[in-house]
Amino acid sequence: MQNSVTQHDDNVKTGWGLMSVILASSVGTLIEWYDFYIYGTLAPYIAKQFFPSGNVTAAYMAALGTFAAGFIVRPFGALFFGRLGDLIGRKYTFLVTLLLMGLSTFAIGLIPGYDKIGMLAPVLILLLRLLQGLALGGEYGGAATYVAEHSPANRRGYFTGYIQTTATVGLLLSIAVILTTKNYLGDEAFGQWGWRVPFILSSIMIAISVYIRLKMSESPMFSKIKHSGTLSKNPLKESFAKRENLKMVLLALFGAVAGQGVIWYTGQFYAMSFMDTVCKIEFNSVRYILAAAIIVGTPFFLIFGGLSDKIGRKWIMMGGMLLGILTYRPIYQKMLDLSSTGNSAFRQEVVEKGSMGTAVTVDAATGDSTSVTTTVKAYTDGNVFKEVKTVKVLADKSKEQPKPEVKQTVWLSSSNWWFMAFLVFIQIIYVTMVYGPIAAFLVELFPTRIRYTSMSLPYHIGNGIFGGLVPYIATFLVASTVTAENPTGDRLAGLFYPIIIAAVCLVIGSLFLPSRTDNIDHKD
Amino acid sequence: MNTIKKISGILWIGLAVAAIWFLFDRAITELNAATVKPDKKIFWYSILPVYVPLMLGLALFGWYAFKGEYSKVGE
Repeated sequence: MQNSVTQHDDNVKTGWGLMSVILASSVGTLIEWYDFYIYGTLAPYIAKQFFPSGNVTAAYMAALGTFAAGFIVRPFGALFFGRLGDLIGRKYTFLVTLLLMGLSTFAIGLIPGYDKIGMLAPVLILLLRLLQGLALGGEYGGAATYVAEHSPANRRGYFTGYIQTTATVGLLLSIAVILTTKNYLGDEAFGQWGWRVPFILSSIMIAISVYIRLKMSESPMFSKIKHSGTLSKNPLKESFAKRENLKMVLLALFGAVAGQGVIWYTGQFYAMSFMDTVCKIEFNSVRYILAAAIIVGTPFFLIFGGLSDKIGRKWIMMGGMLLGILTYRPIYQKMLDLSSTGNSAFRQEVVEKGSMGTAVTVDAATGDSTSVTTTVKAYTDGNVFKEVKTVKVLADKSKEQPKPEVKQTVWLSSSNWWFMAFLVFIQIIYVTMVYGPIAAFLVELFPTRIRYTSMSLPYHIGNGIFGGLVPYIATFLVASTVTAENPTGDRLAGLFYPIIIAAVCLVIGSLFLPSRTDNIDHKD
Repeated sequence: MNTIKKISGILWIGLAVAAIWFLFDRAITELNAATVKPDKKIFWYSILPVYVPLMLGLALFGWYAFKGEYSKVGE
């Protein structure tokens, strides 16, 4: 038997040739992640424009857009485009995914709001979001496979590490574009129309990326099996109906990607959501903290990818999972303590500022009154806490009175800001440990003829479903601990989900994964 | 090591069954509540058809492990 991944080493590129392959692949993948994330980050603005809160059908569609595109459609995209990639080639397939993503994103930026075209608006948005999910499902496997099949066997982890940076850098880029646009236009203009700018800007980036990708040649390994007539005739059947391959797909999913997915989503999205909704840290500040942690952490994708070439992929990934399991709870407890909404005994309140007070307005037409009470507190450690409580009292007492709205915001002191960024950075390091080597690991687990299909599905189930569900299941777990005596519940209970999934994956991976995948024999 | 791999197969099957039971139990409890928000309905109607097959996949993985299908992986 020959090793399919190493047998083509005479065809691999080196030097600038290889870097141009990596650059062309990475830029496109990065833009796809950017496109996917801006929808998530701008979800509140999109909801306001397209999914009015009073409309039940629109509310269903908003939730569908979140769940279907993020979790369900991505694996279908993996199957559809993976099959295409194994049949017609990597180059044309991930060119199609790029175009599909770009056009969908651009169109989202142009759709008129619910107030202009009614229910057609949320329907169109939902459809476009589903197309985004499909495209993303097809993109990653193609890019990772393409780069790996161009790379020398002894540096495959390092070079695919560049593809691994794209998801995180795509998130960073989305945050940067959104914050820049928001700061430039101001909150009001951004809420009205400025949120469309990041979507429309995507078209320029996609155009450049398509141009670059058009100049690329097909992967040497794929070309070789194509010329030798050994392409798979039915990659789906071969991947999932043949026991030899199906068992490796299951091993990849439950022994590596599921755990990687939850560590990835906890380290970035749950950390962001936790700072927003539990710690109540100011919106921009949260994004700057995450951006700082990502910028410092991103090179570690390459470091751990490169290290996996030397000591193997398995134990680096398992190490990242183990560290997450052991330290998530203390890290998140510290994040709570650093914010004013944590243990109130943790810091001493020093002053209640003069700006606290209540303003009452009465609607002359209806007689309804609204009182807004603002409280600002400063703490010894430099944190500032602001609470705005709005109570609306309807003049018509026969109607049900609305619940008071309370908005709390925390501004961290400089030292606490840096400490918080450090805690997020630690989590990013775990992300780089599990995610840096995984592209090379997945590529090496499957033969060339079904590689695109076989690696894409577990990747998108692990990341889209196991990982993507972290914020929702975590919220559900916290809510289930709420009682009359403890109205906030156990705010760290949400961490049980990623910890349990990572622990199961760690045990399976440690027991079953091969220590070195680059020596696995495959028949093409 | 191969004996441990085989025995662990039973654990993965048991874990999959327990997860499926837990999911249905929670879904029925939540959806039978007096008032159910749209996003909660979507959540459960999306999660069940996705997660249950995944847990069946875990059970299949356990079955393969129990049958010794992974004995030669990594050797």
